[in-house]
Amino acid sequence: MKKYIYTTLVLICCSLIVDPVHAQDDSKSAEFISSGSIITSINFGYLGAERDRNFNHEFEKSFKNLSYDLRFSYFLTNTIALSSSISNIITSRNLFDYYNDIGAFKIDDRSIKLGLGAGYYHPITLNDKSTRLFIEGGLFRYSSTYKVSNYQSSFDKSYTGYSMATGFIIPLSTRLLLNLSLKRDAFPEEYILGTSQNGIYTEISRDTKWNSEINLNIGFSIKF
Amino acid sequence: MMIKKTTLYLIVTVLIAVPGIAQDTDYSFKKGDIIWVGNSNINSVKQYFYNSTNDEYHSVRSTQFSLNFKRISLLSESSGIGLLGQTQVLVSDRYNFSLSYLGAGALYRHYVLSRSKINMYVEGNSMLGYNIALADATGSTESDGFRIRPALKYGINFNLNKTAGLFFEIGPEWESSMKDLVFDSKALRATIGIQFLKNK
Repeated sequence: MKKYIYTTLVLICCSLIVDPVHAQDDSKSAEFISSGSIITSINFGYLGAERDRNFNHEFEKSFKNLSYDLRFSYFLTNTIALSSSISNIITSRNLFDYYNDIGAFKIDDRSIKLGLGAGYYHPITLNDKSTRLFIEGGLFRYSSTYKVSNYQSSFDKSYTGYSMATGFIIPLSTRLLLNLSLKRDAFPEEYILGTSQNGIYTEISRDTKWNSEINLNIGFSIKF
Repeated sequence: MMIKKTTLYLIVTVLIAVPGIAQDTDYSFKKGDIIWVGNSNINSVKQYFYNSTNDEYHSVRSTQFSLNFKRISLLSESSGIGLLGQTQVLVSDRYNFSLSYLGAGALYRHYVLSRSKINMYVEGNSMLGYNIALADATGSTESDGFRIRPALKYGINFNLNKTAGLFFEIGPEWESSMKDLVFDSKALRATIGIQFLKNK
């Protein structure tokens, strides 16, 4: 019951947010972003699938995958914004009984990434259209859990990294924005080397390396 | 069963909650309008692995390109035909391998409810693709061959103005190899996203 009440409230809020009473097509407005503006991007996907035949050690008999990411930027002034983001992926897989010694098993894999940042959005004009060139920096926290049912164990990973981004925001209408962004995340990961003899594990060394991830994205955002 | 109940509940709640939206501006679809949905992404990850042969760490890079889209041309205010496509290419220099899939198809969409700011639709589409593997969660298969994937969708979209809207879509999909046309995979997919409307 609580879930339904919560869902109702969320839907009503969504209805109020998308109420286009204030919308006017004026994409050439010089100030399509101003102090107090909020830019949001949203992605949500769910896929539950199963296969009747031809599954082997690579194929799942079935799986469920839920993923979403949300991003908000709030403009403190006409050019400076604070941003927050959340990205969550949850996957549950039922694998075929390929290895007879352990039987059919299930893998639960979930990760969440939370980010905070600040950016400067410089107004420029491209093809007679008001556009913003932005640079942004911030920190993020990543946590993941990988759990295999038959082994009754889970592998957890978490780290804090930093990110830098640049790109363009181009208004397609008063509320719809086209994003072109190039983003680089950097994060530390600890590599532990060891040996195992007669069931006794001995750690040899422990090194921290900085991994990186570069992302070039084209997508839509909405301004409120 | 639970999913069916929840879906029905969502639809009913939206129908109840949304008619309060003011109808002061006409954002209705017109014949000749074109609807675009999709995104494109390139992701490149650099990580390290330990090589015991020479007792050194080596960096490896994996790069993935993905693109998916739908383009719908409205034949009238209540129906449209279109194209859909999706592709993904993954290249890793650690194992010197690449994985990719490519799919393209056609769709027919009929709007069962057309209001200025809210539209509800049913859609039938079919995609032919190489390595599309509906029931493969990790994309690990390399030799799934040519497969066909028909799907039914039920969707609702909220027009924010004449060019932008939010949509929610849900529906079943089936998939078969092209060799024997036995549909061995099935799925339920739901999506929330932003759509772009290009007016005629």
